[in-house]
Amino acid sequence: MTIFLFFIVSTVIVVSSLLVILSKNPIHSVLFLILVFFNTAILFIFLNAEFLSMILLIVYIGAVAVLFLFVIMMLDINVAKLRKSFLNYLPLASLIGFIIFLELFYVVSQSKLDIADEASVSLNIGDKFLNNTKIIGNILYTDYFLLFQLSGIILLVAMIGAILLTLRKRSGAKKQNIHDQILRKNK
Amino acid sequence: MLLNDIKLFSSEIILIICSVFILMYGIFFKDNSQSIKNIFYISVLSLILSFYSIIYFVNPEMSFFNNLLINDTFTLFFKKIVLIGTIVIVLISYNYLIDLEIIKPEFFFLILLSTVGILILISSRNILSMYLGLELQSICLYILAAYKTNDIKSSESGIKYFIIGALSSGILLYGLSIIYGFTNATDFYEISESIKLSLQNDENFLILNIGFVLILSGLFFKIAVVPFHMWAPDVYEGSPTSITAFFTTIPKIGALAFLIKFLNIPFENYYSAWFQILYVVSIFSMIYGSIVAINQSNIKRLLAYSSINHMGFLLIGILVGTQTGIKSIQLYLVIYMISVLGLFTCVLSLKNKSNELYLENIGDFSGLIKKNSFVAFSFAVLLFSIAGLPPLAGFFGKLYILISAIESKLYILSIVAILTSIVSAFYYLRIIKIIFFDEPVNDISVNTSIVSKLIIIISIIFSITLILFVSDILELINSTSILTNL
Repeated sequence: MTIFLFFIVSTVIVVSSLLVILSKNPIHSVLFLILVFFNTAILFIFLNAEFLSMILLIVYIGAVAVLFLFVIMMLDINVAKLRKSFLNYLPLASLIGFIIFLELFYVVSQSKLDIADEASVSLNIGDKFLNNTKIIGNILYTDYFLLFQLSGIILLVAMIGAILLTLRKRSGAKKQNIHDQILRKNK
Repeated sequence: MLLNDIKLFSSEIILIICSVFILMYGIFFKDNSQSIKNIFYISVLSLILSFYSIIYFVNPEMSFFNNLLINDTFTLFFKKIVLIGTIVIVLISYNYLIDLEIIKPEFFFLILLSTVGILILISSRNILSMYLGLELQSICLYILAAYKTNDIKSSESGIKYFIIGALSSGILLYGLSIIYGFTNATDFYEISESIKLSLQNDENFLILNIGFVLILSGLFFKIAVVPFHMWAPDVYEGSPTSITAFFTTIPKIGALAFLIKFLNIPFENYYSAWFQILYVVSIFSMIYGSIVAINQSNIKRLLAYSSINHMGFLLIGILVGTQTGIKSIQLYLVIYMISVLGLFTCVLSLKNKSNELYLENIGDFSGLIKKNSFVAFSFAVLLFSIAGLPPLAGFFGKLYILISAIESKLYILSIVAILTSIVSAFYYLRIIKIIFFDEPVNDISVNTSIVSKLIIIISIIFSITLILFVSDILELINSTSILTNL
């Protein structure tokens, strides 16, 4: 059953990643990219790596793909023009692709992991069944508490920095005065 | 997490809490000069409190937070220096930023948090905590470099610093992952054990070498030595002057202290590999830093090149590979920091009378002696000290490093160091010549506040009278040591 699902999901991944490159409309490309991410997340669930699949959904679809959509809508990129140089890069790109394929093939053929066998990432510690998320949470909030907090501070600094560098008072910028807005009478 | 961890981490916790408090204070009390003044007092007070807590709460040679951090006496020594330097930076920034009308609560927030990053970097004993400390520090610095948002040069320096810094962090992280793959450990002492074991078994070191070189490149980017120096002059020139003073001293001291610790704890048994790399880097930094600086007309660019030269000089102390080498670096860094901060305080007190701009061009300093003899003479003393003239402080820094180099038979390195010191003396003396003997080209207005006068006087007294108590300082330094094995 799993192997059957695996083939369905991976076919969707391959087809939609081809469509990411081939579709004419950049918005469609991003939507297909989201489909690729989503199906990859399903693949991770097959491997019992539910934490990775959640992260993939949240980070890649929730943040990265939405950012891509924003960028495409903000910038006026002419994809058709860019595509004209596609054939020029084809020989080099196919060479690199071939090399990567060989490397992957070598690694997979050399590895002792049996793919047909169901990989199990989960651990049975004592009688309690622990999943990935629980294990990571247990370590992250106790042993590596300091690192977790420090990452939080780094994110705070990044946020403050972005605001500090971009927020400036310009004359003529339209702004809503909340107080006036609330006190406005209905007409 | 135990109560003990909080006690040992108290100096950082004070700074973090105060920085967040400053941010909140800035939101609720809108921009007026009184609230900015209060924020300034809070940040100075928090740095002093943090210094106090290092002396009274933090006991040395104890690991904390599940062995992520450790405070040995060497670390505590550098933590104290970093905090003192940051206090001086905050003091000299205040008037400068008010004058440029770009003072905001976020400035103090960023300075305090980058200090926290440096403190964590110095006290780390795990590659994860080290990386996070380094990132915290550098992200604050990127923002500070671009702090003057209405100035295109400042934005340019911020972007340059950000791109180079992100690249170097990536390289560093890649090296760290390779080291983890090789040794299966993130703790410095465990890495050291693992390398010792591999050396005994005579394993293949190719992959470890790659990781090691990548980490060193990342760290060399941070301390700006040849061939990883390209960003330094542009970034130093573009950033606001008081922040340039911060860049040239505090983060470099932190990164160098970490480099010493990193080479002496995890790679203690791997001396032969890092010796060659540091040797080449040291020679090229000294030569490049001294020769290129000759032709500079901007004081900030000149000090950037001179700091490249100084960093090359300091690497000799690491190369020696003995305790004396490390002690001489500690002495040199203290002297370097005090002289450079004094020098920047002098630079910050000079303004052009006609257009109210701060002077950065060396040619504009001409005839300063006729305007204000106090600032002119302090320039002279501090520049003589940095150049390394015998009775002054800078001479002793160079002397002890050269003694330790000659004791370890690094003759070529010492000869290059002496020759480049002579070359660099030329451009320091050129500034003194312009200040004392050239005819004034424009009207200089000198305004020194009481605080900056005090800073200049302290740095001058230190430079002149170090000869009397150099043995006491060496005794203090000798009482510190790196905990090389547990």
